[in-house]
Order: sequence, then C-alpha cells, then structure tokens
Amino acid sequence: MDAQLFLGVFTNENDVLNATRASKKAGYPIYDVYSPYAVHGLESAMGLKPSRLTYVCLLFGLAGLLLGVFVQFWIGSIDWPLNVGGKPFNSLPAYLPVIFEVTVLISGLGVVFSMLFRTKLFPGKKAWLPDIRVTNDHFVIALIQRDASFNTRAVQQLWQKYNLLEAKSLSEVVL
Amino acid sequence: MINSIPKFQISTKINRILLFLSAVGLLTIIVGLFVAPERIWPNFLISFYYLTGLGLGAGLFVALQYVSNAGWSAAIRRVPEAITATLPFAAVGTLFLIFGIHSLYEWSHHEVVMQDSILRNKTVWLNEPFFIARTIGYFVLWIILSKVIVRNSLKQDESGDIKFTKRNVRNSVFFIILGVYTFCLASFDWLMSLQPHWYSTIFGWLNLSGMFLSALAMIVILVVGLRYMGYKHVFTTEHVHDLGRLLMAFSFFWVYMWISQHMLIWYSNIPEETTYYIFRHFGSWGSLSFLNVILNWLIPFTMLLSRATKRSDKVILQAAVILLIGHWLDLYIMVMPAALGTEPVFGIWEIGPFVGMLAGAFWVVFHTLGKHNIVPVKDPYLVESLPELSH
Repeated sequence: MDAQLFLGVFTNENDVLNATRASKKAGYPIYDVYSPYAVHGLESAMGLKPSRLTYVCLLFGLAGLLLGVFVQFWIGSIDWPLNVGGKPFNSLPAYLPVIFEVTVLISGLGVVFSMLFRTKLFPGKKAWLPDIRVTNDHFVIALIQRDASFNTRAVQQLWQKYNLLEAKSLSEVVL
Repeated sequence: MINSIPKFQISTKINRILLFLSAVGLLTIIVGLFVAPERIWPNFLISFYYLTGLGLGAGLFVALQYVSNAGWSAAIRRVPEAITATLPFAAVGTLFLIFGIHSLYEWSHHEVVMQDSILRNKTVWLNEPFFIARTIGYFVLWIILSKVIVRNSLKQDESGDIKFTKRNVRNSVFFIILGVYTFCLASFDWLMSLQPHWYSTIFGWLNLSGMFLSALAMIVILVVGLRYMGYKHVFTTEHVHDLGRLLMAFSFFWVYMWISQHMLIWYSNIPEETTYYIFRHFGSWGSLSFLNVILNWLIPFTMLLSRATKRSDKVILQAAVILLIGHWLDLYIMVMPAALGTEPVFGIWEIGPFVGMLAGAFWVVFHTLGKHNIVPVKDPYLVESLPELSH
C-alpha cells in the first residue's frame, strides 16, 4: 500500500504524549510514533490493542511442556529403558526439571521468533526512519495521509499547542 | 495535591470485629492450654511462626525496594512498613513458646537425648539455653533493623531529605543479608527440629519462599482493601498489576522450592531423609500435601496468568486469600505430623489461634497505618510511582 505520511517533530516527551492523545481524539489515523526510548503511556495514547504475543507464548509453553513429557517418557520407558537407582521407568518427579526447562526454552524462543516474523525483522534489514533525529533526542508522530480530505493545516494547528518543532509530508512511502 | 490525601482511619465496625476475633483467638489459646495442651502448642507455634513471617517478609519487601532503587512501589510502601509493626507481637508470642518447649521438642528431654547417639551429637546446637538465646537474638535483630528502616522513611515525610533514602539503602542491604540467613536458621530451629533426626538443607529456602509469599499476599489484601475504602487514586491499577506479577512469580518460586526438596529426597532415597515424606505423602496427609500444592501454586498461578486478571481487584484479592490459607496449610503439614504423629485433626484448636492471630495482625496494621501519612509524601521516587498526582 502506498500512502503519504504527515510527520510532526517534537522535542519533549510530554508534548509528544499529549499531541498523540489529541490526534487520536481528533480522529486522525496514526501510523506510528517514533521515539528514542520507551515512553510510558504511549501505547494507550496511540490506542494500540494489547499484544497477542502473550497467547503465542502460552501456546509455545504448552507445546514445550508436552514435548518435555513426551521425549522423556518415550526415551525412558519405550526406546531405551534404564534402571536408575531402582526407580520406575516412568517416574514423573524425575521428569519435572527437564519439563520446566523445555517449557521455558520453547516458549521463550518461540515468542521471540514469532515477534521477529510478525514484524518482518531479519538480519540485514534496512531500517526505515522518518527522521534521523528520532535516534537521538527528537520524537516524531506519523499520521497517514490517505487523500485530499486530510487537512494538513488543521493538524498543524492542533500540534502547535504542544510545541511542534516542524511538520512535513513524506510521499510515496511503502507501508 | 499529594498532601491532600486523607489519613487512614479504621471504621469502628471493622475495629470491633477484629478485636472480637483476636480476643476469641486468645481465649482459645488460654483455654486450650488447660484442656488440650498437646493440640494447642503446635497450633501456637504455627500461628506465631506465621505472624513472624508476615512481619519479617514485609520488612524484607521494603528492604528489597530500597536495594533495587525501585520506583514503582514508593506509593504502596507504607503498607508493608505497617505490617512490620506485627514483629514485636510475634516476638512476645514466640518467646511464650519457651513454656511449651518440652511438649513440642523431643531434643529438650534430657533422658531421650542421652539414649540417642544422633541427638547427643546435636546437643551443641539443640540445647535449651542456646535455643532461647537464638530466638531472642533473631527477634532483636529483625525488630531493630526493620524499625530503623521504617523510622528513616517516616522522618523523610517531614524534611524530604534524600539522605534518609541513602541510609535506608545501606540498612536494607544488611537487613536482606542478615534477615535471610537468620530466618533460615530460625526455620531450622523452630520447625525442622520438631523431627530432630531429619534434615534438609533446602528447608530454610522453602520456608523463606513461603514466608515471603504470605507477606506479599497480606500486602495485596491490604492494598486492594484500601482501594475499596477510597484510596483508588493513590493505589492505582498499575500498583495492583505489579503486585500481581510478584505474587505469581513467588507462588512459582514456592513450588520450585517445594519440588526441589521433594525431588532430591525422592531421588536419593536415603532412609533418614525419606521418613519425612513417607509420613506426609501417603494416606490422608498425602491428600493434604496435594491440596497444599494446589492452593499455593496451581490455583493462584492459573488465576494470575493473564494480564487482565492481574489488574482486577477481585481476582487478585481472591488469589491472595487462597495463598494466605495455603500458607497455613503448608505450615500445618510441616508441624502437625511431627508434633502429633496421628491422622490430620481439624477443630476449634486449629481455627481459633490462626484466626485470632490474623485478626490481631490486621488490627495492628490498620492502627499503624492510621498513625502516619498513607503515602511517603516526600519520597524521591514518588514521582515515578504516582506520576499523575505528583506534578
């Protein structure tokens, strides 16, 4: 999808937070907000939905748990039963540490790779930045400018209240 | 704005209920001492060990916040600080246990020790004068250190001087190191020596995790309770969420320790170690041990797994109440088989002391809370904990 972005550059954390809230309230579609560090309350200001990665994590955790149980049961009781200290071949207490570790490992790796997959991050990917200064001390709000009905002047007026540094349009961005 | 928060005042109804329940508990203990001493002494031990854990656990929680320079907890810190006020009461109760030493501890009988070579070798540590001295020593240490930390925190309310925070960071380091070591030793002394032949090196850690978990549950109950009483703007959903995470994490930590002790003893299968579990993990005690894991881990863990339930006052309150009951059951399983050696018993002698102790603890905490500002108003970290109110 090709669309134009309308960017507002800010220099203060509170300003960008309030400007985001105001833009959301006025109904402008927010593409993203760029910040050099994590700003508290920004997700709720942008109206982001809670992440679904937690459910992915739960599923991977359950998969790891089953894997941990199955692997040990299959090795210890079916494929290569060994007598360890006279214990029964299928003894749950002995499985527990490995089950715990495998659950943590699979859910941890699974959720990280799911996140990388979903956000299309991979080694060597070129980062797209609206403004190089967001890596230092500036903040940028990017609104989606779909058609001519988008009133850039009104948006600028709205942002002026929050000490807008500059505003600009970016065209032909591949989203 | 932060100065306009009203001080906490306990309602006369709650005050009366708590006083009535603690009086009933005290009465049960006194009557029980004459009617059924063999039942009341173990329950006395459970109740006051529990109370000690609440006070010390809350103190360690405060110390942990100072040591880690935690910002999130500044607004709720007065609650655990108030819980440490139960420590002197726990000390009085535990010292009263000296009169029950002969009905509880096998190693305190001279003629038994003389016929038992294992116990004879342990007399260096397990003898009455040293036991009493240690008990006094633990409490002196815990009470002094927690009082110093709380006093510095209260002084800061007036002057707002940063030096109190710095001092408390240093005090907290001592408190955590000494408190954890001495609590492990105290659990060896008071609980593990009930079966003086048996030993487990992880017993102290298991008790430490249970103790901290019960203190956290108490903090959660008080914070959520205060939210219901009209402090929603100071104790926010964010604080409840953070407490919920801790509660879930320490519930898991407890079961981790529980499994660690159980699994190693099961694995090595040495007779002098397995006696403990052979008694507790079969028959009706076995069902109770099963229930113990369900109450202390499975139910709270599943309840608090999702973000929405950690932020819900109702759910987190239920989980905390389940954990408080679960911790009592945990101690019951540790103490009762050793002290009575029979099938599980449950009646007035079990309920009375425990309910009385909890009601008394809540009464003390509520009254301590009412004496000072409900929020450390000049704490340097309050800005982080309450960003909206502090501006």
